[in-house]
Amino acid sequence: MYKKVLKRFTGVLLSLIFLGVLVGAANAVTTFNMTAGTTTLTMPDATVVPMWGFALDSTDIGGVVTPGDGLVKVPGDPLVVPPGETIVIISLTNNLPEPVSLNILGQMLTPAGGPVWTAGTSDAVVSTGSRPVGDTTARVRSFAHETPPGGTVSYTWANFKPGSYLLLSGTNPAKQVQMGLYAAVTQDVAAGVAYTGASYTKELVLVYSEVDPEMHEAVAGGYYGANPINPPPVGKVAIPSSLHRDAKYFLINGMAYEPGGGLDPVNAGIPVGTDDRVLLRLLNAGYETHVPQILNMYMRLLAEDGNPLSYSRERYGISLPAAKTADVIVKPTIAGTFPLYDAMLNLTNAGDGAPGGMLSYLNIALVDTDGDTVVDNLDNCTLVPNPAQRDTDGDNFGNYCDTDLNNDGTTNGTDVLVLRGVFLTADPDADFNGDNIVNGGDILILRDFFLQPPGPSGLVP
Amino acid sequence: MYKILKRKGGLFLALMTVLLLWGVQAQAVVDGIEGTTFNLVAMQDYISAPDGDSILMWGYAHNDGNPGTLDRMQYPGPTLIVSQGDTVTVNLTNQLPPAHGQNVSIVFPGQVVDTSGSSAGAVDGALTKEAPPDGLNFVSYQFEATHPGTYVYRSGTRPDLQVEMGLVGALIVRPTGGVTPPLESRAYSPPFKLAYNHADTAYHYEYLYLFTEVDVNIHRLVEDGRIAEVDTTVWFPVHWFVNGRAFPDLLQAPFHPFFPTQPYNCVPQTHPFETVLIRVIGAGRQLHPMHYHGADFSVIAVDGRMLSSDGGAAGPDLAWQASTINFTPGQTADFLWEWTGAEIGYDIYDHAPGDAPLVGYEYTPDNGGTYPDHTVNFPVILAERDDLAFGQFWSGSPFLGAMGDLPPDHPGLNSGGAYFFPWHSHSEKELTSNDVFPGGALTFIILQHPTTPIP
Repeated sequence: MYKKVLKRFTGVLLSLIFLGVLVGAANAVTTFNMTAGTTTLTMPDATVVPMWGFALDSTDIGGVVTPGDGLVKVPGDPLVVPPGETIVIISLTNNLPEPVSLNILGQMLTPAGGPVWTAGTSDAVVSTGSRPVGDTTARVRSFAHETPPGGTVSYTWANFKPGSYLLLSGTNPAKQVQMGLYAAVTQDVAAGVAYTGASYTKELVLVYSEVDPEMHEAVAGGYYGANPINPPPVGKVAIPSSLHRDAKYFLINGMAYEPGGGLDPVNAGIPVGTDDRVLLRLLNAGYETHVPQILNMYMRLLAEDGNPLSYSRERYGISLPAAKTADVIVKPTIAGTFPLYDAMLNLTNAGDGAPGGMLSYLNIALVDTDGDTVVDNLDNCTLVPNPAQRDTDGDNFGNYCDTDLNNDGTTNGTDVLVLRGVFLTADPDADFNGDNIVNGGDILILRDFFLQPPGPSGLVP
Repeated sequence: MYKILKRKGGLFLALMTVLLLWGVQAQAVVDGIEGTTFNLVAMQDYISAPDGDSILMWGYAHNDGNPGTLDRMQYPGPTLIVSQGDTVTVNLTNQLPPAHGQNVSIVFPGQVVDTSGSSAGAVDGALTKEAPPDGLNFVSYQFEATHPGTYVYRSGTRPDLQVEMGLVGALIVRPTGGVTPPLESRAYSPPFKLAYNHADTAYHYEYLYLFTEVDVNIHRLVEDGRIAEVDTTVWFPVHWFVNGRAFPDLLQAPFHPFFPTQPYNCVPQTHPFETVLIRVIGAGRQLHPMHYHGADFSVIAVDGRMLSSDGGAAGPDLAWQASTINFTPGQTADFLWEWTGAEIGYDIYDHAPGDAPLVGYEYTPDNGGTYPDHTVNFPVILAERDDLAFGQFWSGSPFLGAMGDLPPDHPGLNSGGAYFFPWHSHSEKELTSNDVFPGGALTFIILQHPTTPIP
């Protein structure tokens, strides 16, 4: 008997699992159709820098296709993987004059013929996958399988995990990443939740990088590298490698600071108020360390390289070595304009004296929904005016919006009984309006919250 | 030889109390100005570097309020020492030569600063309000020191140039949280003090490590009136300073007349079993892997926030152990360091068989049960004096508080028989001053015999 039940149950379970897999499979493929191509960036001093970048042509989530704008950008548009999805494919079309490959640092690429080896003395490919047997002079050109010029090739990550990551070129990265082949890739654990327990209301993705324009001109002009195809123009020299790279411009999201530019403020299209929890995804696609530092505020460091910390840390500056990612939450409690800048002091455009480089501003508006002069992020009742902020049971819900006397999450009959038991006493917790007596006024407040949770409170996320 | 060494050790220990002849001078406190209102003036002056160079600097001077007694510019600026809960006001005027065309300001990362008390002629800058170079208009930076800890202040005006030029300093906020420090267990130790509001942040001595760099070419251009030619993207520092001095200058006394614009030194001292608090500040633009010999340390705070899993009650339970810490621009850290003699493998007091252990002085893993190194001989037999070349901090003896025979030409800089542990940047080129070794970011912690007083 027991066995039979178990058997039948197993059958049901198996079919359920099968169904689950099917449902999961139908949703679990996210495909980004991208193009690598050339573009330019114009610096605040009008210098035009040749760049390579990524265009997002379309996003296909389980068959639902959203077109991108198809414009080559530096950095590329952030690739947003929906929560719960585990299979990510990038289908890359290469419009650059040389092979390109892709890596997402911290994610496992499904092997498909990488690395690509060349003879040490030329660009001739001598092997894919492993080092050619007995050949000690072969060199890796690409960490992953390549997309040839004019070709389209897929890259698959079959076990994608949530977090903030950098998509970088895996081919001659000392050249191609510098040229601009980088983008952010992000995934939340649930809508509006970056990591378990870390919810946010607004999100800013900040990609840091540097530019040496001489090197870019050499790449564009064909006189960069060990085997340049063109002689340098008059007044220029061939640049054999990035060894002597000397960054002149310091970029956030492809922009160097100028007054009124895209970093002034950096949240121009994303209004932030004192009721928001802002997730800053900080990614360093450059080759130097940068230390984003905020003034008049602290940030809370949640995660590094896509890995959540067991305990978040308060910092006013975040150390970002090359290729590092960090996620921080900012919960503003005062309004104003907050400088967010590189504490390594790369705050110049090519050495001029005006403020420039990795300087950005975060504009924060005052939001005090109930108008009780306590901003929402500090207000223990954001919808009920309570300037005194009484919270006698210390649960971060002010008494005015906390009729849940037994702290079971809802105001219901039990709470009415508790209130009845202390009626006409000075019980502090049941004295919702703070008039030192539990009376009819408190009953009216409880009625408003009947079958409702306490709050909302800015102190309880 | 061992016997002779031993006898001499005893003799010299006795002599030492008479002949307190120090090669280096130290203070067991962080030098600075205590108060709640500070009047600072940006000024131009010179510092001296160990290679003999005089370098033009800009720095913050402290005006004590007495007419006609304006202090000189100092590098780094005055260490401002306040108490938690204080409302702190820093007033800044700008007496830099107007020809440079430089406004000046201060940013206080980690503080919420109000500049509304500034004079009408103060101007809005990129990061904060600025004082124009007229010597009259001032910016008033006001903030409440809500949290104890170590903080940095730097110029917020063209900081890539002005921080290089010397406009940096330290801010220390002492806790007033009503937490009682632990009781002292060593008879020779001073009372504990607290770095943060938790007993696990207690220390005996505190020292500051404020790190900066100098690229002399930038200073030359400024000196020659060619400030427009300064390009901070091709910056190449050749001097590395701790508290505004480089080795060996940083071993001299604080406020030494040789260094009228570099008042602070860096000579940490301690005894066995005592806890040293090091306040770490990356005030410049470079990363510096500072390496602390002798024992591991415990990092208890970063950016003025104790590393606590629950916001404070648990103490610095997220602290980590290390022997190298990367000084990061704009960042501060606090760590605790203690030397016990554990696992050193010989008796640092050179006891003879039959001697009783020096309770409270010698390492014991089980609080007095055993003394594993007691009477254990020094593991090698030292060569004769004239067969060796000595460093200037060698006392002549491997035993703590003891001395031995030194050659006639030896400078004898360690007359207390202390142990010198190098604390230095492990980016080894930073141990030079303009390409001359030794120099730069090279310091020591001096482990003194328990009976040697630490001033």
